[in-house]
Amino acid sequence: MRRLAVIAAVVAALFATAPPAFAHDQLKGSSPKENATVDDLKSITLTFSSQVRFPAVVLRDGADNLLPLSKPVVDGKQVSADLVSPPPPGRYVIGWRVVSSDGHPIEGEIPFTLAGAAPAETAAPAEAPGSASPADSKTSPANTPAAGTSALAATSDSTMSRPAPGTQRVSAPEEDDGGGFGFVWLAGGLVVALGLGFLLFRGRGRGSPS
Amino acid sequence: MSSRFTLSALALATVVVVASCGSTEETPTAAAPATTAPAAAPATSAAPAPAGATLSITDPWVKTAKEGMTAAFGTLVNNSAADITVVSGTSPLSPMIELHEVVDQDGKMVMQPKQGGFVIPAGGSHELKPGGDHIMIMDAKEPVDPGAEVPFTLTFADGGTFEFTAIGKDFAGAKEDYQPGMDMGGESDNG
Amino acid sequence: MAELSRRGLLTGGVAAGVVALARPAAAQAAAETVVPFHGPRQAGIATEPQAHAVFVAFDLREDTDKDALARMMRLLTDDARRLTQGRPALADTEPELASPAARLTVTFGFGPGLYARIKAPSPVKVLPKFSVDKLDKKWTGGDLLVQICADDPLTVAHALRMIVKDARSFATVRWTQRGFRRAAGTQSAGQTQRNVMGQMDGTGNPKPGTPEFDLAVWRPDGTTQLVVRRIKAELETWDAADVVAKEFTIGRKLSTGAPLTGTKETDAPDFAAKGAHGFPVISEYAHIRRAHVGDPSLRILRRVYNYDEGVTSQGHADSGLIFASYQADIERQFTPIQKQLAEADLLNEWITPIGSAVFAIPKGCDEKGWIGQEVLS
Repeated sequence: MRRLAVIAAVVAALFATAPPAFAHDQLKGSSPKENATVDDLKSITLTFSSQVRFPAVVLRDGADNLLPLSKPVVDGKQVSADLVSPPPPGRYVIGWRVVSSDGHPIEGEIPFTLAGAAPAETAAPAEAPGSASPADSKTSPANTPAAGTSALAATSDSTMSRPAPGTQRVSAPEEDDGGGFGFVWLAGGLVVALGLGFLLFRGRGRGSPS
Repeated sequence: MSSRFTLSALALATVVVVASCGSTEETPTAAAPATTAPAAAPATSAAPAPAGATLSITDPWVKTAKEGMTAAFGTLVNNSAADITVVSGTSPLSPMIELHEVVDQDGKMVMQPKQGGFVIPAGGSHELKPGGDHIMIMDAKEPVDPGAEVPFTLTFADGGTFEFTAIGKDFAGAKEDYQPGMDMGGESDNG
Repeated sequence: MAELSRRGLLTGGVAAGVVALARPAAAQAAAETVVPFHGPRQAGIATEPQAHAVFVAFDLREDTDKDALARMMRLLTDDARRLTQGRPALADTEPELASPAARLTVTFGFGPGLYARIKAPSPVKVLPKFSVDKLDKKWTGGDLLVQICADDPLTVAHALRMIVKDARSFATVRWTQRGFRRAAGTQSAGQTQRNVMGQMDGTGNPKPGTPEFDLAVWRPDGTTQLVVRRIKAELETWDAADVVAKEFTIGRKLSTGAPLTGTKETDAPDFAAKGAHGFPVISEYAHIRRAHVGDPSLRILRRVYNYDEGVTSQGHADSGLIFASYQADIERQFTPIQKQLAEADLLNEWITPIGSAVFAIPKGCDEKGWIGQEVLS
């Protein structure tokens, strides 16, 4: 009886601390890639582990201005949105939120750099937030926040207030940033739990006359 | 419309205002909306002939029928200090109207004309109901449709009369004892 | 452990005994409460929703003409005015069941087909087809509706039986939908009920007795309009969703019913509030945002009931909501909201409208009148 309780407690503890993200869809990749430097930016594509719904995608420049995007389209596991006009070089952040196939919302940000006249070397996570070069915002074609862009119309967002552009690799907090890793950890935990349970059961089987 | 007994809203309203309250109810007002004064309800419930001014009826209804036999029910209320005896009845519905009672004959409930008619005691009431005393329509010439209003005239022993209107109502019962062995014919079955 | 349990049990037993002793008087008083039938507007709309309801819709028989309709409505009105006051109907075969009235209300509605029958313009039109609809004929349409509500299910059953017996010469039954809310006395009046999905349902309802209520629900002539939709809850997949998903879907916390931007159920949702990544806290597609109506004259009164029918052999539920909403003008108030929801409501993943019907609700009547008199005379 007590042993069973111990097993239950161990298993419960493992599940309680495991990232709940294992059941939800995850971002598997993107174009542009996170922290990448690209030469060209015509569209944004996000690839998820499964088909997602209700996508919202925004693109911010280093000065936190929103750039016009087409309404995001879901095609299989991919979500894509096109740039309305080619943006100037600089550092950008893709913000995204989708509804996982199980209904759970997941969201995150993908910083990247568009190479060109003002190449802003690879994004350094340690770099202080808000240090986007003034040149970026000056040259940005999309200083008007939002209005009239279809993506924003679709999301009914008029302003995008955001803590720190481009400094952290982000996804939904409960996503724990690496579903794969979380899954491995969980799987490991299960193995441990099962092993423990096995041992305890064996012990019980030997010790108790039933 | 198939029924010749067309409705008057006022007449129906009187049926409705006067409340039903079971067999022992002495006054027809009972739980009706508080605005109805006890004395007012009987006065509006029918257009009594002179000698019938002291009689009223609560919740008069007649079982629907396509033709043939059917029956009318309600609670007769005597507001006078003297007994009233109803000895006969008429209705444009049928040339044959009888006052019936239901009696137990060797374990079988059968109906028969009530000798001496219905006696409504002074200040009391007499309930006509399925399985009990009722006004028997022997040979309805017209259908009695649900919601239709059928006029009746009751005649007293002293020659006075009392008129009322009964509303057609679908009812599955009240057929247990109608002339055993004869074609019932009066069943309402358009449902 | 065992000792503790026993003590707990004993205490519980004593407490239960006290409750059982105390209950009858209070319960009886509540059961005998009567809702007035007569008035300029029909009861059962502004009435605090009773615990049990049955909605029954009829199709008129071919030979039911205007005169027959008038006879029918006189009969049904008579039944309603007696039964709601705890008195047996005329020719009631079970007069013993007429009491307690248990706040019984009987509310009548006329569908487009009834107006067509009497060659009169219908105040209500069949709803447009919504993309989310998977309507089943057996829950859809109807020429005549009777909504019967009471705090006691036997009272409802008796009233239904009486109404159907008096209606069936004129009409056939198209569908019946039985629903329930929390049992009477289990929560305080005015408290928002929960649906079978666990959500608070009806938080934003206009409050009876306020100008907002009158504006949203009543037309100047005392009539109103009713939408009845049967909405199946996909409980199997809803169960698979986690709390975050459910709350994101609704835009409210499941526990308190508070909007995701607030702490109390009554807090107004802050649709402009943004989360960490700049996206709205209450999603663009959250149910409460999609259903939100600012203009009080465009709101609707949700008077909904849960349904929970037989469980399948595999243990799957047949549950959902009898969505009944009253509004002065369906086209102006209900239809735009439903369009918004059909377009993009996260909740659509877990609900499916399988029935739909609209009815004009005639005004009330006095002691001498009957419901529908102004339409059928």
